[in-house]
Amino acid sequence: MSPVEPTEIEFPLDELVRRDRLPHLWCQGCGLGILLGAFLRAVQAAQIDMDKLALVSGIGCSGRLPGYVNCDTFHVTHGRAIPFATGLKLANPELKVVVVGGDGDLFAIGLSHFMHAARRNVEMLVVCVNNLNYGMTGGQLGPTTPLDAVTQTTPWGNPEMPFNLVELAAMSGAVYVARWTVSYVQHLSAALQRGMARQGFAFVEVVSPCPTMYGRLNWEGDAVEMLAALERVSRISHGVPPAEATFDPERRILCGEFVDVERPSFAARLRHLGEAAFHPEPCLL
Amino acid sequence: MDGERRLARIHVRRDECKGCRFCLDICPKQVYEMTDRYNVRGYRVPEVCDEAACVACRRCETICPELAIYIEPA
Repeated sequence: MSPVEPTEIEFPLDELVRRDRLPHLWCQGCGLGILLGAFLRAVQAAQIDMDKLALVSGIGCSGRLPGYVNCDTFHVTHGRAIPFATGLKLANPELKVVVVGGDGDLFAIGLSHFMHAARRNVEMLVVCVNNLNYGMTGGQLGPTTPLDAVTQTTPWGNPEMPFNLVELAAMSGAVYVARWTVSYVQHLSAALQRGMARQGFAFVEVVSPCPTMYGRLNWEGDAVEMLAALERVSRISHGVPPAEATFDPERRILCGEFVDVERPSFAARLRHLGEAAFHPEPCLL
Repeated sequence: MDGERRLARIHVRRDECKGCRFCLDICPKQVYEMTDRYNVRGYRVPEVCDEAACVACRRCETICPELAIYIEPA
């Protein structure tokens, strides 16, 4: 038995990452690292031009993801990645815009932005890394923290019912909605690829363990045990009505694709409006 | 299987590993094991103990959160 020698050979994803920034700052066993790999493989598989890819993120551990990717990245204020991304995409429609954010950034402080961008069908892929808490700041409750869970701000158990993000995204008008856990790595990569190809508001929820904060506060074991627990409760259930896409980390998490439709994007509607303004129909008065 | 020929060469960036053990846990062939050695960053890290057993399924490469594994087809 011998340890593998340190190697200088090039790894397949090396040209897609900012090598001088690795290893990343995320914790041992954090699902964000798995998501980074899955996302980069999706970009490779879709042959996306790195010069046309723009990642936008807010605050939190998820917000650090774009900083490791070798494309134009935009790290903005808490909850506001989607409005920045909207401006970016409308000003430069050739860009492929992807927003990465956590459950708090996207669905607490950023909730209104999320819902309106989905309602308008602004073309972008939004990836929510749902680790059930505000991890970076020490493990406070957020809008997806399960009922009765312990967090820094709910030491006697969470009294609030959490959101079902798939249901929320679908209800807001997203044209592609999927949920995967970080243990479904290949499915996740495929969903990210499909989301990036969609000409509309696409949403992928990525359920991830947070071993250092949420997991520790709720006695969920180490990273390997948390990932195994996620696998135990997860089932693939494509096409289930979004309101029935159960998200109960103790009991059942339904994964798969839940919405997959087409409708005109916000930009397409603006263009149509612009044409109408320059060539108005004659008014019959 | 043929003991002379390997299906893959396993490359691990040992010093970027944080010892989460997903690779060890997910490998179907027990290629990895924990030793009592540490890497330069102070993590106890899984090590390849049986490269010949690797069937190049690449589950370890895909799941590694540090992107520290590359399974090079032989």
